[in-house]
Amino acid sequence: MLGTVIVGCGAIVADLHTQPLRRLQHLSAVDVRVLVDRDPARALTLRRWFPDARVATSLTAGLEPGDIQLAFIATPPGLHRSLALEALQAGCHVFCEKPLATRAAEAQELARAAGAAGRVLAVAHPRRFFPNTATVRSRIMAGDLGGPLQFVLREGSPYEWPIATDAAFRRETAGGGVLLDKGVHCLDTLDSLFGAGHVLACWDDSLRGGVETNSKVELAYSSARGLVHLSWDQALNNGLWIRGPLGEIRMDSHQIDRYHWRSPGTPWQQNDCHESWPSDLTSTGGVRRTPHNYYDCGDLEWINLVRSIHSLESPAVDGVVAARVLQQIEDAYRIAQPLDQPWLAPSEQAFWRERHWHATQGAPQDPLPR
Amino acid sequence: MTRLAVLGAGGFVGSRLLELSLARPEINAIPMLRQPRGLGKLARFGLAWRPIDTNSIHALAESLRGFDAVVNLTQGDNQRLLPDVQNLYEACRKAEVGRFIHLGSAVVFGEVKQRDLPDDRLASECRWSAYACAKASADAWLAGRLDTSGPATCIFRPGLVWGPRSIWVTLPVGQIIEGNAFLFHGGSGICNLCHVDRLANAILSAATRPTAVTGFYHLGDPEVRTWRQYYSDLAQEIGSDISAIHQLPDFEYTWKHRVLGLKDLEWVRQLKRRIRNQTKDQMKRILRTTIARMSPPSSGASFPASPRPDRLLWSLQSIQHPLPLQRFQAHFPEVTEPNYETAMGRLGNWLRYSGFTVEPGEFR
Repeated sequence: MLGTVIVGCGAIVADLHTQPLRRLQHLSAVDVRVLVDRDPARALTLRRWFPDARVATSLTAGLEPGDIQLAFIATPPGLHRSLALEALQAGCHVFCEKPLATRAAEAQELARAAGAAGRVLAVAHPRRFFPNTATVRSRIMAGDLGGPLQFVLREGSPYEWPIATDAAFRRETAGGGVLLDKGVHCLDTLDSLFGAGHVLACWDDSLRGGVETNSKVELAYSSARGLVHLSWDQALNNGLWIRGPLGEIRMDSHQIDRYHWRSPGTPWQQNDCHESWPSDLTSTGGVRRTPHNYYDCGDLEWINLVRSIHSLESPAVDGVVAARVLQQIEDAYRIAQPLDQPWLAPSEQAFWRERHWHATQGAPQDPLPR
Repeated sequence: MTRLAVLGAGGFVGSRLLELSLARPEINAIPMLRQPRGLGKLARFGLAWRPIDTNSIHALAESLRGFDAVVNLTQGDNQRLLPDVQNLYEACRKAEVGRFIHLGSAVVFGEVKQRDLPDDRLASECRWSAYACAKASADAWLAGRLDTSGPATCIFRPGLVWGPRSIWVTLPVGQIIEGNAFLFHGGSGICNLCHVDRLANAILSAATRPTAVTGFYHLGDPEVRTWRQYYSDLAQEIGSDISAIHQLPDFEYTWKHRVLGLKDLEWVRQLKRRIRNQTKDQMKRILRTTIARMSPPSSGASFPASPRPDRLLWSLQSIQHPLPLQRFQAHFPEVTEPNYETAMGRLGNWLRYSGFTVEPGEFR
């Protein structure tokens, strides 16, 4: 049984991770022993689900008795690196909410530290368990769409996550805006479909002192090239389209167990997906399970983590893969240009372009109140 | 310099109001938010913001002290709408804020059955919409404060607020793309539109003009459009046309609508808030599986889209008259932008940027 500490007891833990952890606790696979949060009230709220756990206000205090083998880190991203490093150095396996860090170099450092310590470092990316992504990957590998491929991945909706502070909107605490928040999921999905890729161009709307609420990134992979389009402030026509000479695929973001397919000149057809993953901790994986929603994926992700710790399989996303995606994001931030906003009057577009966070040469005095 | 507190700055109208005000050096607009998540729409500006608690007049007054004007764009719970307005107004009075600008809605008039609807008409009957009822109650309460010694109070009652990011754009456009958009009565009803920039400019004008204005003002675009014209314009911008829109004779109120209508009941909404997201997802999954078992296999099938008419759109598409705008035009002659044609052209640019086109749109 893995003695477990949860670091950061906010909304993501309560919503997505509590039930999988309780199920694993019921199977005697993990034992949640410590709840760490700077605000003890939040930890005490979570103790409703883990009544035997003790509460601490720092990881150092939480690790003290030496009965912890697994640290689950779910704090704001700016704290991930230091906490994960502390846990690894204390001999713990680490499961970290995305993004693993706010900089690629930090993620690489963590991957190296995990390797040196012989511990598992895994990053929470439940979308790795979306049946449609797995099926589409197989179809791409089988050459069903031909090549080369084009893609567009859009994900936009007003920000609704019930956060407790504004840390998610400050570059010093979050590392970035929508590209780091939603983009890390999207780029990881593309990494799983097409392999390693690189950034060709990036456009965003961040001003000096802010983080981007809208971002567009153009990427190239060995077999595909396309666009990722993200927003925190508006709906987009969400989904992933992949087009090749032999066919086209559309995946809607809210239907994880189906996708749409059409050959050139034919109407869209709906296809159900039945990809499955191990559902227990036996060496064979037991009865395999097809997830139907995000929470099912969260369950399977925790099972994958525990199986990885027991050397039965590899983590879906480890530190090396996470660092690769973070490198793309960092590259995108480095070359970001002002986003075209052609729905605004030309004078307004020019006003915001001059105040873009990378616009330093000859930029006007900042008129925005701080 | 006008110091302007914007309550509900994280919403559709609020974020555009902030965006426009930041480009005007004579205005210092500060977002006032109940939840930090409201900053999501404003994150790019990196603005200073203030948390507010609309439950407490005392705390509100402390937050609002020193402001010249307060704009109330808060939405949220229908049951909280009236008490929030009451608390805000009292807090403005206590903090000696000069102007209080409140966003009402023309929804209180339902189908607009009267041609020359006076701007200060109060909705006399509680309509089927809980939101309309709540808005009407707030209007009535504020109407009783117009002649008191409190802040100069201006209430705008816009029609459907449209423009980039509006639900009145993304909803019909999404339906046109999916093939399930619909129009009642051939789309002959009046579509009382109000562009978001017109509304934002009206609010900024009310906040900054030398002499305060008070009272109720209908607000909308001067160009009168029918629903057919509006949908046709939207369809054209996304590479479709009016033939893609289903024509429905009239609304049939079926048992399905009764069941769906339950979700708008206050006790159902409260119950829903108490259920964990995971449980809701599992319930949806069970429902979907049950329906799938009763239906033919879906894999490999292509489905003809069919419209799912609802009462709200039926009501809006049954509007008989344009809102009279003479009072607004007389008091706010400076608010003229944008022109409908220009605004629709720019909206088309936004729709294409957002991928709302019949084909998937740009891949590069």
